[in-house]
Amino acid sequence: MDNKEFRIATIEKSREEGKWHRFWDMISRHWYHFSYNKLSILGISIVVLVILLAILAPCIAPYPAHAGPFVDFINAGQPPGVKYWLGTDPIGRDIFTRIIFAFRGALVMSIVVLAIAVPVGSLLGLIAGFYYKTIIDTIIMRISDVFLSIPPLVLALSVAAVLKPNLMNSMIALTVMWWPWYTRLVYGMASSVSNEYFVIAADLTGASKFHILFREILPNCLSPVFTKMALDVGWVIIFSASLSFVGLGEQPPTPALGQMVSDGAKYLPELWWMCIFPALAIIVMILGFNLFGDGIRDMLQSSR
Amino acid sequence: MRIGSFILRRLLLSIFVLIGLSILIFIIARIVPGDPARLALGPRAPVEVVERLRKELQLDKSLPVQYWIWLTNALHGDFGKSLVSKRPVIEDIKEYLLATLELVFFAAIFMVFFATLLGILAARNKDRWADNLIRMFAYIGVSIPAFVLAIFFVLIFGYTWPILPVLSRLSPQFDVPRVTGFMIFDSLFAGNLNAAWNAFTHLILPVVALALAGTFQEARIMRAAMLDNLTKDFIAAEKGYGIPERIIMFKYLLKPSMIAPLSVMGMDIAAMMGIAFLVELIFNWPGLSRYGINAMLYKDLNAISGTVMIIGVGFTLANIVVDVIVALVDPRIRLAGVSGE
Amino acid sequence: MDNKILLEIKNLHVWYKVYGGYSKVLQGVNFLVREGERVGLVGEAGCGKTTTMKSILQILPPGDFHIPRGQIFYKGQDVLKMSFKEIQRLRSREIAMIFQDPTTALNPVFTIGNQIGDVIKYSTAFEENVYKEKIKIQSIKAIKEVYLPDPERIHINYPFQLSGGMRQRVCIAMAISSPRNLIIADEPGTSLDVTIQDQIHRLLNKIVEKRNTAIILITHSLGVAKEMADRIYVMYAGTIVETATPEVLFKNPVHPYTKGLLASVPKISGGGIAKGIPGKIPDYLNPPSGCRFQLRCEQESPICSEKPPQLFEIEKNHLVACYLTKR
Repeated sequence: MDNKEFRIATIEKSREEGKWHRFWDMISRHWYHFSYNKLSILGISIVVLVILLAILAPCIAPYPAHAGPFVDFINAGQPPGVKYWLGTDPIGRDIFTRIIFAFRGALVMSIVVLAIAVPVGSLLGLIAGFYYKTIIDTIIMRISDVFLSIPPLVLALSVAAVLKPNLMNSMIALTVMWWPWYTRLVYGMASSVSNEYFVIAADLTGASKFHILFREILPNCLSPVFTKMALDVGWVIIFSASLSFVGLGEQPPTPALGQMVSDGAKYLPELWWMCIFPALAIIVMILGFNLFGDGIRDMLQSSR
Repeated sequence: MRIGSFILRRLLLSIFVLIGLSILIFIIARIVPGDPARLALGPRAPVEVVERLRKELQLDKSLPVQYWIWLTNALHGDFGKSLVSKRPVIEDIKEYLLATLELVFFAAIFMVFFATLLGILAARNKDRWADNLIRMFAYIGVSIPAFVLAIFFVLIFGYTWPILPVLSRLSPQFDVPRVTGFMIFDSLFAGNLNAAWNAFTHLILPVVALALAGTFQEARIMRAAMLDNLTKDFIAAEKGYGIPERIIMFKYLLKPSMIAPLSVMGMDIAAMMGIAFLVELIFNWPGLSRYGINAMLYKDLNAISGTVMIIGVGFTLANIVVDVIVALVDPRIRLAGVSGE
Repeated sequence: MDNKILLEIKNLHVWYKVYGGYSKVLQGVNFLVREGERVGLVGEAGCGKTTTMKSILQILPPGDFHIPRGQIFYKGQDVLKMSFKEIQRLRSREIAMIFQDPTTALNPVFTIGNQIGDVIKYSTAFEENVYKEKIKIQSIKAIKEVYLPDPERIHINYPFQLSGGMRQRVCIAMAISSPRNLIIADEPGTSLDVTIQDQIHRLLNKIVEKRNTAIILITHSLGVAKEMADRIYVMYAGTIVETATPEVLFKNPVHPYTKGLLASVPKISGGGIAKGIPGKIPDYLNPPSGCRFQLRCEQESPICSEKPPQLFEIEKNHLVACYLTKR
C-alpha cells in the first residue's frame, strides 16, 4: 500500500475509533467547556450536595422529628453548639434538621414548576412561531404579553394570595407566572427557524405538520431552552422563598426556607442563628444552582 | 419627528395589553376566589343578606357584564372599598403610590449609574482582579433574594452598627409639607436641608436592597456587550485607522454596547417593582407595595385588584420609556423600526 | 521597478489558543511590498491572509493569540517592537486597511460623516486646529472620490440605510480620506455582486494609480490578482508557497498548489468543470510536520514531511517554497 494512502487512512481511522471512544470524547469535550470556568465545578458540587441532603434527609438529619410539630422547651433557643450545630428555635427544634428538610420543598418546587411551565410554554411558543403572523400567533402571543405586563413576583403573589396558602398553590402561582417566558423564547426561535430552507424542504416533500413541528423545528430551539432552564432553577428558588417569606407558601410546621427566615426575623437580634442560617442556606443553594446553570450555558454555547 | 410616531405606536399597542391585563386581574381577583359577596360578609352571614349584597354589587349579572361594570368603574378610578382600611381603594393608592415611585425611581438611577460604571470597569480589566471582584459580586448579588439582603441590612444597621436608619421614610421629628410626594424634593422645596438629608439616609438601604441584584446583572451584560463588540470588525477598523483608545472606548464602543443592557432594563424594573413588595414590608416603607402585600395577606380583593392594575399600568409606561431610550440610542430602531442586535 | 522596500514580513508565526492547544495559523510567512507597488495575495478561505494583514496593524482579535517568531519591518522598523505611540502613528498616517465585510466594518450607531470625520481628525497633523467645517469638507470630498451619489445625504446617513456596495465604497472613502503610503484591501466586495465587486476593484485601481500608494489586494481569485497586481503572492495554510509577476506565474507556475489553483479556474471558453485540488486545508491544531501541502500533493516525496521548505529564488523575482525546485 502506498505510504500516503496509509497515512490518510490512519488519520481517518483515528477519527472514528468506535462508538465508545466517541461517546467519551463527547463527554470530555462537554466537561472541558463546562469546567472551563472553575466556578461551575463549585456549582455542581453544591447542587449534588443539596440534592443528596434533600433525598437522604430522614437518614442524615440529626433529629428528623424536628421537621414537624415537635416541642422541646428544655432545649429551646439554644445557640449553635455541639449538640445542635446551628442552634434551636424557641420551641426547641433543631435548625440544621429543618434546613435540610426545607431543601426538599425547594427542590420539589423547582422541579414541578419547571416541569410544567417549560413544556407548556415551549409548546405554545412553538405553535405560535409555526403559524407565524396568523390569528393563532396573535392570540397566543397577545395572551403571553398580558402575563408579562405585570412584574412576575407581583403576579405570583396575587395568584398565591387569592388561593389557599400552601405549597401546592404556590407552585400553581409560579407556574402561571413562568410559562410566558418560554413561550416568548421559543416563539422567537421557531418563527425564524420555520423560514429556513430545511423546514420548507420538509414541507415540500410532504412531511406531516407533526413531523415538521417536533422533528424539524423543535430540535433547533432546544439548546436555549435548556440553558434558560438551568439558569431558572435559582430563580424558582428565590421566588418560592419570597412567597413563603410572606406566608404564602408551605405552611408551618413543615419547614420552608423563606418561612424560617421570616420567623427568625421576629427574634432578631437575640436568636440571630434562627434567621441567619436559613438565609445563608438559601444563598448557598441559589448560588450553587446559578453557577451550575452558567456552566451548562457555557457548555451548550461552545459546543454549538 | 419619527420618534413621535414611534411613541404613538407603542402607546396604542399597550392599550390592548392593558385591556388584557384588566381581564386577567378580573379573573384572578373576582372569579378564582369564589363568591365576592360571601367573602365580604364571612361564612356565618345569613343567605338573604348575602343575596341582597349580590344584587347590590350586581353579581347576579353574567360574567361579561360584571367585567364591563368593573372595568368602567376602574376607568373612573373606582376600585371599590378596601376591606381593611374601609376607604375607597383609590384613596389608599393615591396616598401610597408616590412613596413606591420614589423608591423605584432612585433604585433605577442607582442601577443605571453603577451598572455602566462597573460594566466599563470590568470590560477594561477583563480577567484581572477588578473584573473578578465584580463577577463575584454579580454571582452573590443574584443569589441573595432581596428579602434576605433587606433583613441583613436591618440586622447590621438596625442592631450592630446603627449608622443608617432602617425604618420608614423620614424620622418623626421632621415634618415636611407634601408637594411632589418625593420626600427629598419636598424637603428641598421647604428649604429644610436637614430633613432632605434625613430622607436621603432613609432611602439608601431600601434602594440598595432593591437595586443590587439588577445592578450587577446589568454590569455583566454591559461587560459582555462591550467584549462582544470589541471583537467586531468595526472596532478593529477604527483601531486600524489610528483613532485613540479613549475615543474608541467611550464613543465607538460604549454606545453600541449600551443597547443590550438598556433593552433588558424593562425586566429589571419589573423585578424591582416585585421586590419592592418585600422590601417595603421589611423597611416599613409606607408605599403601595406594602399596602398591596397587606391586602394580599388579608385577601382584600378590591385592594389587590386596584394595586395590581396600577402597578401594571406603571410597568407598561416604564417599558415605553425604556423602549424610547433604546430607540434614541439605536438608530436602526428609531429610523427603520427594526430591532438591532 | 525596484523601488525602496516599504514593508517586509520575515518568517511570521501567529498562533491562536483554542480547545486542545494552539491553532498554528501562520507558519513562516515571508512577504515584501515596495513603495507604490500593487501586490496581490491569493489563497483559499482560511489560509491566514487576514491574520497576516491584521498582525501588520496589530489589530488581531483580542484574546489568546501568540506570535512566537517573526518580524514585520515597515520602512525598516520592526512593528512588533514598536511602542504604542509609534504603532498609533503607523495606523493613523501610514497604513489603511479596508475590511472584507462592509456590513460589519462600519459602526452601526454612528453616522457615516461622524465616522469618516474621526478618521480624518486623528490622522492629520494638527489635531487641535482642525475645525469641524474643515473635517466635514474633507470627508464629503472623500465620499465624492468614491463616486457615491449625494455625498451630503450620505454624510448624515447611518450604515444600515446604505446598500452593501455603498457601504464598501464608504469603507474605501475612509481609507483614502487622508493620505497614506499603503492600503490593505481585504477581499473588498467579496460578499457583494460580481458586477459591484468589479466596480470596487476598478475604483481601487484608479485611486491607487492616481495617488501612487502601494496596495496589498487580498483575494481568492487569481483572475482579479492578475488584472490588478504587479506581483502575486500565493498563500497556502499559513505559508507563502510561491511569488512572481502575474505573467510569469500564469505562464510558468512551479509549486503544485499554484498549478492546482490555476487548473481550478473554470475557463469560459469551455472544457467543462476545472480539475481543482482534492482534499482540504490541514488541521491547524496538529498540522503535518514539514510541508503543509504534502497530503494533497501529487508529487510528494519523503523529504516533504521532514521540515518545511524555504522560499527559494528560481529566477529573478520568482520564489517558490517546494523541494521539487531544488532537485
